[in-house]
Amino acid sequence: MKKWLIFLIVLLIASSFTFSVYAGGQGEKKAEKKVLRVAAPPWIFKKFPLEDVSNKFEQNNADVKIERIRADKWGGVTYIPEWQAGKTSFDLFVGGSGSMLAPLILGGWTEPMDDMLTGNMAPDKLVGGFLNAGKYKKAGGGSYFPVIPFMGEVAIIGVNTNIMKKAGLWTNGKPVPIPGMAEKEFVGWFAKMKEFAPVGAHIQIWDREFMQYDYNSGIQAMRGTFRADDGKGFDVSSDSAKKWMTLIQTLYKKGLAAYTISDDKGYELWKSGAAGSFFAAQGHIMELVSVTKKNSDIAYTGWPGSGKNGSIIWTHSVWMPKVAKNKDIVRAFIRDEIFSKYFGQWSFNHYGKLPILKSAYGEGITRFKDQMPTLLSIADNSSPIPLYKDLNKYLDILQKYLPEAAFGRLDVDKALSSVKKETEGLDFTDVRAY
Amino acid sequence: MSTMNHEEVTELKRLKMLRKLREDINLFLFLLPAMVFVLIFITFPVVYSGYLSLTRYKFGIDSTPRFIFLKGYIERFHDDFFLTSLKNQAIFAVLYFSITFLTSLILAILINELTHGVQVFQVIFYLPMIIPMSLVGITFAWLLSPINGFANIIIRNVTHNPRFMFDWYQEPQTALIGLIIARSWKMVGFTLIIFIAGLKGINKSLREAAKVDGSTFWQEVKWIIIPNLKPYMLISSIWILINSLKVFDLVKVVTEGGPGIRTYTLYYYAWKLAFERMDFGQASQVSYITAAIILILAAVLNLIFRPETAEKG
Repeated sequence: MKKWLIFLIVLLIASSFTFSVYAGGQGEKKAEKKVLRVAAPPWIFKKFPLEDVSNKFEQNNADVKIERIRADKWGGVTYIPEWQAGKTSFDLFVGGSGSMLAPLILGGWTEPMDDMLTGNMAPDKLVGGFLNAGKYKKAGGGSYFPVIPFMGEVAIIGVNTNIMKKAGLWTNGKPVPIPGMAEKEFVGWFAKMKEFAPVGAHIQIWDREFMQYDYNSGIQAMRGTFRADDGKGFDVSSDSAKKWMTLIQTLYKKGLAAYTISDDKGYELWKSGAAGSFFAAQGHIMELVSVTKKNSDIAYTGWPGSGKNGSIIWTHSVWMPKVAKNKDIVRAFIRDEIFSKYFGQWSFNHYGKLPILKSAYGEGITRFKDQMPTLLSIADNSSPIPLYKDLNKYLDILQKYLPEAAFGRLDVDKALSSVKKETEGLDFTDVRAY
Repeated sequence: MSTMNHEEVTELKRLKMLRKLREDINLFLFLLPAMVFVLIFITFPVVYSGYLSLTRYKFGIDSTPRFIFLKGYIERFHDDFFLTSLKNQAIFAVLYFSITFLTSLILAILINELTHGVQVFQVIFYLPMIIPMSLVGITFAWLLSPINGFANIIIRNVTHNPRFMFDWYQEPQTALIGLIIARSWKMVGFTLIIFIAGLKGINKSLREAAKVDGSTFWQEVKWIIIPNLKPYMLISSIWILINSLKVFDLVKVVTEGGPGIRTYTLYYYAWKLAFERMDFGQASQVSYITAAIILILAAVLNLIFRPETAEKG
């Protein structure tokens, strides 16, 4: 009996060893899985199906495990010290617009991605205007793609169709376009909505970021470019620039516009459903529908001339640090998932973000199909904001004057000449290649 | 009584020294973690940012800082953004100091006169202190928002003007004031507690004697309470002063420096320089100038409210 007991104990210990060895083996197998660390700011997690596509990628690639990391929206530069030490806390970053990426691109910290523009990501398969926003000048000449845009936004006018109808600005199922840039025509169009729009016939956000689009979009629509003729920043000298800023100021002075200095307040006014029109990103304009639940409550139009000359676009990109691990897997994830029709269409259908894949604009789009031609015609001819070496200082100086002029607190000529004077010494080398 | 010979005395001294050394080593070992923490997280950043303030250095773009000595400091005094931030900061500090100091002092004196409910009021006024500043900003932005803001709703109802939608944080005349009020609302409770502690420490017999001599309440405040509160006023005013210059979160959350740059403050500008323009050299200069201002003002306050003055009455 005693021997049997000893035998059983030894057997038990032996089996537990065997199991441990097996489990350890399994663990090692698990540990062998390649880890792809995908970082994105919180808004990307909300507005894109990152979790879905990560799961799908893991299913299709059994040897890959994806870790999703919530990152700061503007914190790209904070990673530089770890890159300097040859380390990185993520392999792929999903998201990032020009001003956030500028120091990383200028410092050459991101991996060139030109080799990815083949197959489903070949340039002819992508919306050209958005793709070009990822093209930058190379140090030794030529151009390259240190980042690849995966979605775009276009600055456009959204209108509240109910108010437009009451104001007599609705015909044939479309908004009556603004007739022209002459003061009487331009201001008259908004004046018709005043009575029916208690919070403002027109809403515009004049914060540091959107102020660039507010200012440049009108000039772009009028003369086909918003850049200064001497290449030093935005046009603040032409008759078009002065005329545009005067129109903006007149709208405010006549009580037709409700300008805000923060984006939240702009959205709040627009989503009250009591504003006639809103100049913003197409996706933010769609957010009115999240309140009213009726897609037909909004429609799009543009500044006079924007059909031909376009507006301003901006993009968000995917990029990887040069020191990233498993670059092949990063590339596969971008190609298979981020540039999938599902990824782009899901975001458009839920949040109105414009996909970069041309094929995503067809079957599968469930909302705003009738608005798509207007959106695309304006987006196609639009330009991104140049990425000047001193862009951030330039924006600070613009913030001193442009909103003040828009709010009628500063004479237009004085504002524009002050911008010209104060920005003389800035470095306007544009690192974008077009 | 036995006497110790020379060798014994030497041995005793040696033992004493050893014990002292052991105690010193123990003390040092206990202090070591704190010292390492202070060295790494306080001393090094302070010294390094001091060095950076004497350089030109754009993080991520310049490979190394370029030494320019005091040139950067001189440039800051010709920098319109810095001068505007300094001006806004001065307005902020003066108004915030006055509002917070006087409100908490008056409230403390009044609460101290109560026979019941002193602690209840202390808790009520202290409650905003536990709310994070960013949340205070969001709350005030909502209270003062043009459409749904409490202030505008009241004004609309009182004036019967349904179109009244004043944006307090967007108008140059009210934006900075709105920030000051929000910050004061949060901070009054802390200085109130300090003043009440001071008031409790005043000898009751002093006021009773004054009463016997026929003094009024305000005479007691002027001749007994205020002089005896001076040490507490010093602590409170230094604390308020430092807080009046450490303004970042509220500006970032509510106005982002706007309208235009009318609510830029020194710390907000330093943050923008460091994390938007990546100019660590300029950001360090602004930070060091701010620190110098705080030190100078704290020294001035120390002169005004120094405890000896209080003792003299």
